[in-house]
Amino acid sequence: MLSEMWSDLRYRLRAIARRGDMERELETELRFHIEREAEKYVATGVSRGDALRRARLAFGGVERVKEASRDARGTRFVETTTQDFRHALRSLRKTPGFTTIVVVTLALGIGACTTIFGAVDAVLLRSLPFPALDRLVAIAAVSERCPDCDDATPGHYLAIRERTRAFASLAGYGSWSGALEGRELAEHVDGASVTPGFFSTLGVTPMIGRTFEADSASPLLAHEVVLSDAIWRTRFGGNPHILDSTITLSGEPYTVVGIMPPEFVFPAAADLWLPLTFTVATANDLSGRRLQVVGRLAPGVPAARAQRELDVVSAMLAATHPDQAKGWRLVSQPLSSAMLHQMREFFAPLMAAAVFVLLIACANVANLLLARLSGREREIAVRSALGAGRWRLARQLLAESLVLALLGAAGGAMLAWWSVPLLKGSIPASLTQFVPGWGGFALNGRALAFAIALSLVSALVFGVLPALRASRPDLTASLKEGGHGATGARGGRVRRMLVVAEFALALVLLVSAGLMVQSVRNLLETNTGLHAGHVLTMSLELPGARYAGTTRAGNFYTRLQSVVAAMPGVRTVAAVSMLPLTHDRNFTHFNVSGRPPVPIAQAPSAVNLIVTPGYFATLGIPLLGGRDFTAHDDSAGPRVAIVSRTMAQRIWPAGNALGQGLDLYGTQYQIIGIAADVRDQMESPPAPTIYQSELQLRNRNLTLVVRGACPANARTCDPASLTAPIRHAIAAMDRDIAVVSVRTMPRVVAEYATPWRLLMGLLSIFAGLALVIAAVGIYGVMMFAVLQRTHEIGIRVALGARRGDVVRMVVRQAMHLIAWSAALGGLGALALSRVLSLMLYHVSPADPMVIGGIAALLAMVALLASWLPARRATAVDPMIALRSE
Amino acid sequence: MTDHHLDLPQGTLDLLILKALSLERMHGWALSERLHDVSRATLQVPQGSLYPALHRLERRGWIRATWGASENNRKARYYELTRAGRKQLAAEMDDWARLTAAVKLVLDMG
Repeated sequence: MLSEMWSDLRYRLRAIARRGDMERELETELRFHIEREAEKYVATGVSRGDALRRARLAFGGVERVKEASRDARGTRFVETTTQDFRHALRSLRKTPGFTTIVVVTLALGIGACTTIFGAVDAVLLRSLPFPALDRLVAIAAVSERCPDCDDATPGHYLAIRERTRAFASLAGYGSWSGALEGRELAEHVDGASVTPGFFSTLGVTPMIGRTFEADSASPLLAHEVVLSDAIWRTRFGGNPHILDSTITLSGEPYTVVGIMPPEFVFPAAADLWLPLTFTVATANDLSGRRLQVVGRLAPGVPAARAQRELDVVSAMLAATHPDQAKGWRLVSQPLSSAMLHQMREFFAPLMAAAVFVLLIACANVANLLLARLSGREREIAVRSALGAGRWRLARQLLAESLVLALLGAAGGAMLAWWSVPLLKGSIPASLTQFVPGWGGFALNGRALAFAIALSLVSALVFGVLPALRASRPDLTASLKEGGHGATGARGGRVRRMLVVAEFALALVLLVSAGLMVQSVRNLLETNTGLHAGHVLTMSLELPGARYAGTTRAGNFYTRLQSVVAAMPGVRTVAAVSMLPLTHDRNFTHFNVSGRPPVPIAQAPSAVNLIVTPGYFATLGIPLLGGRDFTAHDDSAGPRVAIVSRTMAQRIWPAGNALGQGLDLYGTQYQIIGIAADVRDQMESPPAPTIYQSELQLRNRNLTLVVRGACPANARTCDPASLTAPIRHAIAAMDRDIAVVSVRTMPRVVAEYATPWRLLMGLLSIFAGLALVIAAVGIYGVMMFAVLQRTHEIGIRVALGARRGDVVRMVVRQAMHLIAWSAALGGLGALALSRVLSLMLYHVSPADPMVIGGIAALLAMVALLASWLPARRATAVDPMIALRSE
Repeated sequence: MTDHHLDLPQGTLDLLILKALSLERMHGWALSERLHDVSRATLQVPQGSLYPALHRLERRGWIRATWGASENNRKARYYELTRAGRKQLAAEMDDWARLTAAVKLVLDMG
């Protein structure tokens, strides 16, 4: 059996590879037979000519035998397919205009899909490259006040570890950032501090060296570091001897023990991992936050059982630590949805939009193919009458579709080759740290394979209709009618339906884009409460070892501010613990002095910022009452706080906030001022905020904000020009201080809105493409309709119809289609904008202005696209039209 | 056609070819002559239909083709049985014997 299969395969391969040889051999063999047969007759005295004729007769049709022998070779399929493709290429080359339009249309659709797929692949499909990802869960402590909290505490982590059995392993990690010191100026690095089981829980192993040994509890552990492939290559030149050497992170020495493979970047943008160990104090902490917990479910344990065990732990903690843990519940969800659900919200509409563009392109191509087919009806009828099988005819058309699709894929890949770097570069560094896997976004083999697969599917989508149509030609009708008619009525209906579908899809896209445009406009017009112009921001990282005590860091900042303030071109300077509009917020729970205290889970919380005197003036935030912090609000003075307007109104609706007391984790603060609201998240209403004085709560890592002074007659005044002198000043004071990021405040604001802008931009591009493609589609259909009705129009004109009547007739037909599209597309738009609504800002998904405006726009485009054919119709000369039969 | 020719039952052509080739190596024309003569002109095998069958058998590895000089010293394509072909022939002859025996039994009843 096996040998038979092998012989079969060998034979077929030879038959394909040496087709010419085999043909010649067949020819020789058959000729020999016939001549030998003829010789037999000649021997009986028949003339040579007669003998040959009789031999042929006895043999049967030579061509038929050849055909059957070829069939017997088992390569028939390959051969006819090659033939089909040759034929397809030839016939497409004969109509370059048609081919170009189709290929460009498809390239746009496939290019759009491939680009977005590349991003989706990197961010959603490959950003968590862990074995058995579905067994990994993220565990967070949530409360009624904070249902979306995504972190827990060391206390929770240790309790889960001790009291559950559903997890094979468990790890905690938190973000870490610091300065990597070297020969040059210190450099900011992002990383994570992780419990020793972190790597084994995720199921990853280092490329070189080792990770932290899981059971190691030695204090030495605290000074080991694992590097990412990226930082190893960029900072250490990919030198493997870096293992066991020592690097300095924020002033402390760490031994490099391992290097992770390039695909492992978790949490997003982490460049290194440090061991996280708990002190007795942190181990009992159940209220401070910022420890992410990830667990791997034990084999065979369903997620529901893990959740039940977590519920038991929550109840136990609430009983033993009512002050800290009451009202909090531990919940687990799949790691992938915890990490990626925001990304899904962003990419889902984009992917849908790109697919829509491709669908519209397919509908259009199907339309063009059908039009082309009705032009070739006679050719097909003749070939069919001459004995070409239906299947063969259909296959030839499918081959044409396939060639078109593959050319489209090539064009799409070229488009993606250009657009992928563009898209990748459009996300600023300040945001990429929140986008897992973004670094892996590239036009790679997977994206190319996707493009090709997509083109094959599209070929099916747009090629099947014409192929079906061609496979059952109505011979007599098309031969008799001389080329137009048979598919006329039927084909016309299908084509009109395709146009309706195209416009409906385009409408959906345009509405989505319109909603996003409206939304971004609202967002950008939002008054952030800041006067961002002329402000430069610069985040600093002080080496922990040398600035361990609070006073040292404080002294440094005080000194730096006085140096910067004295620089020419600087109006004011201040510092803040967390710059607004950077997606990062610190919250604090508080109790109101004089009111009964509430457990932490129910205690109100507010955004917590630590600022130096002059912060409000520098960022242009008006003080509505009271006073700013001064140099006297230092550790020697009484604790003071400034609250935002929203906070003041919410807690003291009577308007008497000034002078009241706040209790922050047991320390009493007196409110000395009320500041105007700042939207530190543009899309949400201003959050209640508590400002504390930096002089009383010294902080190691602050962001410097500097307002430049612009001379009255200066035409341009860029605060960025202050960067160099300030960096010099910092380096002169301490060269181990890392400058994390330098951005002007307007750029901070702009970058904050990038995801919305990007979504708006891409949706607008897709919608524009859709509109153009659909317009070409309706133009084609109307043009075809007019050509088909030339005869009828001629009669009408001959009977006295006026130009206007004819134009109206054609345009009315187009408007009829548009009405259908608008109805269907309107419904689709409502459905899609529900998906979009998560990204919409102050716009209703059913915004009547947007939907109405878009429908009007579409009608305009359709009017224009049908007006051209209509004009052509009026130019019909009745004599010619009647003769055109 | 006045004299009584028989069309070959489906699938028996292969058996006849294998049998004929098991006796000696020969080319297509000789094979066609042999089948004609041996069956005393009873079996109706259109000459042309031999070739697709030969190619199919070759593909399956039951016969092997080589080029050689014919009896009148021309280039001809000779076919011979392979080892697999011999096995196949034995199996098919066996099947044929059982089939005809069974058919005969049924026809003889009553």
